[in-house]
Amino acid sequence: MKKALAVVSFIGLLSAFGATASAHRIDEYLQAARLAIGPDRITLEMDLTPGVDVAPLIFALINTNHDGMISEAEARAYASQLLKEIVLDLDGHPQRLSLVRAQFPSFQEMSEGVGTIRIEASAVCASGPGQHVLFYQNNHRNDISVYLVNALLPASRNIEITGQRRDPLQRGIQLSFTVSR
Amino acid sequence: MKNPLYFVIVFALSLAGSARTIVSAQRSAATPDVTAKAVAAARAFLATLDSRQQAVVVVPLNKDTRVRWSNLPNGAVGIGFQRNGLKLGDLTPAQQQAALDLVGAALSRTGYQKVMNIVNAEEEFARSRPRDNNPARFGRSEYYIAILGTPSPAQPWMIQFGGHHLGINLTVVGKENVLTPSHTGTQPGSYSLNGQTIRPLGKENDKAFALINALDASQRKEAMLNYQVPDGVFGPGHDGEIIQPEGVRASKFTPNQQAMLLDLINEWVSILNDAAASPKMAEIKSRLADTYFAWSGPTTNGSAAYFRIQGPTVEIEYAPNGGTPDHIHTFYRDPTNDYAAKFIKP
Repeated sequence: MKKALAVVSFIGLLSAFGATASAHRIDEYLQAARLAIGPDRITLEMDLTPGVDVAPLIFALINTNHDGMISEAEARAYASQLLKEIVLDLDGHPQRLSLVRAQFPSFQEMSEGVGTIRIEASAVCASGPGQHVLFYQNNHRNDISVYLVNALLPASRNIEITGQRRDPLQRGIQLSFTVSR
Repeated sequence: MKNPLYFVIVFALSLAGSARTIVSAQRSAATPDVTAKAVAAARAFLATLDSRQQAVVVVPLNKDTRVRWSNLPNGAVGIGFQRNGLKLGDLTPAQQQAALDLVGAALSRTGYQKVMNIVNAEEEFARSRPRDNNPARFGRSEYYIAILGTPSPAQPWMIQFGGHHLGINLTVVGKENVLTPSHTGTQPGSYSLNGQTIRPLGKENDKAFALINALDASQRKEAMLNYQVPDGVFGPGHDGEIIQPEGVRASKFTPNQQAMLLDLINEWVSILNDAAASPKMAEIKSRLADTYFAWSGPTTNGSAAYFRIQGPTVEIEYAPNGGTPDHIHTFYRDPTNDYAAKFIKP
C-alpha cells in the first residue's frame, strides 16, 4: 500500500492536470523549460512532448524493462538521467538539481504526439544581494529535440531579471539578475 | 450515423440563424447589461435540452472544470481528457441553433464571425485530410458547448465553446465579461467558402507584419528575438505563469506605431461583446507604455513568424506550427484576470 501511494505521489496522473501539449508534433521532441529564481533556490519545470515519430524511441528510453508500462523506478531513472544532462550554473558554480516530482503519460498518449512528461526539479542556492548570472543549458537528446526556455517573473520583489540571452535554438539561456537585499 | 451532408446543411442554417443573433448582440452592446442577454440566451439554450442533456452541458464552476480546454482535437487530447459539455454533433438542429445563439449573444459580431471561420476551417481540414489510423476526430460536429455554473445576472458563471483550434472561455460575473484565457487557431490558414477566400486569422497576421515593418531599425532590433520559437508558451496548462517579458517596449513607439499595436491587440479583445471589450481596450491602452512587442522569424508577410505581446494586463502570442503560416495557434491571456480572477473571490 505504501509503495502504491508513493507511485501516485511521484508519477501524477496527467489527465488530472488537463492537456498541456500545444502543438501536434511529428518528428521532434519538444522540451519546454521554465526557470524560477527564488531567494534560496532555482526551480526548473519542464514539459517534454515527443512527436508521433519519435515517441517509440523516447518510450523505449523510459520503459527499460519493455513491459509497456512506466514504473516509478523507470520514471525516476529517466528523470534523473535528464537532470544529469542539464547544466545549471550560478555565478560560474555548478548547481545540483534535485527531482521534486514527475508525471508521465501513457504510451498511447505519447504515440499520438500529445503525451507530455512533466518534470519539476530544484537547486538549493542562496543568491545574496548584488548582481548574479544564471546559466542553463539542456543537452538531453539534442539530435531530435526542439526547445523552449523561459524565465518566470520572480515572485520576490527583491529579485529583478535584468537581461536574458539565448542561443538560436533555445537550448540554453543566460539570465542576469540582481538581488536588492 | 448521420450523413455528413446533414451537418453541412445544419451549419448553413445555424449560420443564417446566427446572423439574426449577431444583429441583436450588436444592439445590446449599447446597453449597459450584456450579461442579461447572455443569461437569457443560456436559459433559452437549456430549455431546448432534455434533462439528460442538461445534466451534461451544465458543469460546476470551479478551478478544476474551468481549465478543461485545449487547442487539440478530440480523441487526441489524451486519455482521460474530455471537454466539458455537449458536442454539436450530438445536438438537434434546433439545439445547435440555440447553442450558437448563446455564443453569438456573448461575443461581438466580428468575434462570432471569427469563431465560425475557425470552425469552418476545421471542417475544410477534416474534408481534405487523408484517411489514417489517427484516433483524433476533426470537423464541425466536434465542437463542444458547456455552461459552467448557473447562468445568473449576479453570480459567476462561464460559457465554454471549443474544439480543435478554438477555446472560447467567457467568464461572467455580474456586469463583468472576461474572455481570458482563450485560444484561436486555424489550419488551413486560408480556404474558399461560397466563392469567398476566408482567412480566419488573416487580420492578426497582416496587422502584425505591418507593425514589425513600421518599426525603425533600432526598434526592430529590440523587437527581434534572436532565437527560434517552435511552440507557444501561454497555452493550456500554463495558468498563472508570467514569463519575463522581451522585445521592444511600446513606450519607444511613435503614436502611430502605438495605434497599430492597439489595433493588433484589438483583434483578440474584440472577439468579446463590444460593451465588455471597450473597457478592456481602455485598460490595455492605459498600460501600453509597459507593453512589449517581440518577434521571431522573417518579416516578409506570407512567411511563418512568431510574435508575442506582453503587458501588465494582456498576453498574446501568435505561433505558426511546424514552420508554416498555414497552421497557426494563438493564445490570449490576462495575467491579472484569467477566469475573472479579479472578480471572483477564492
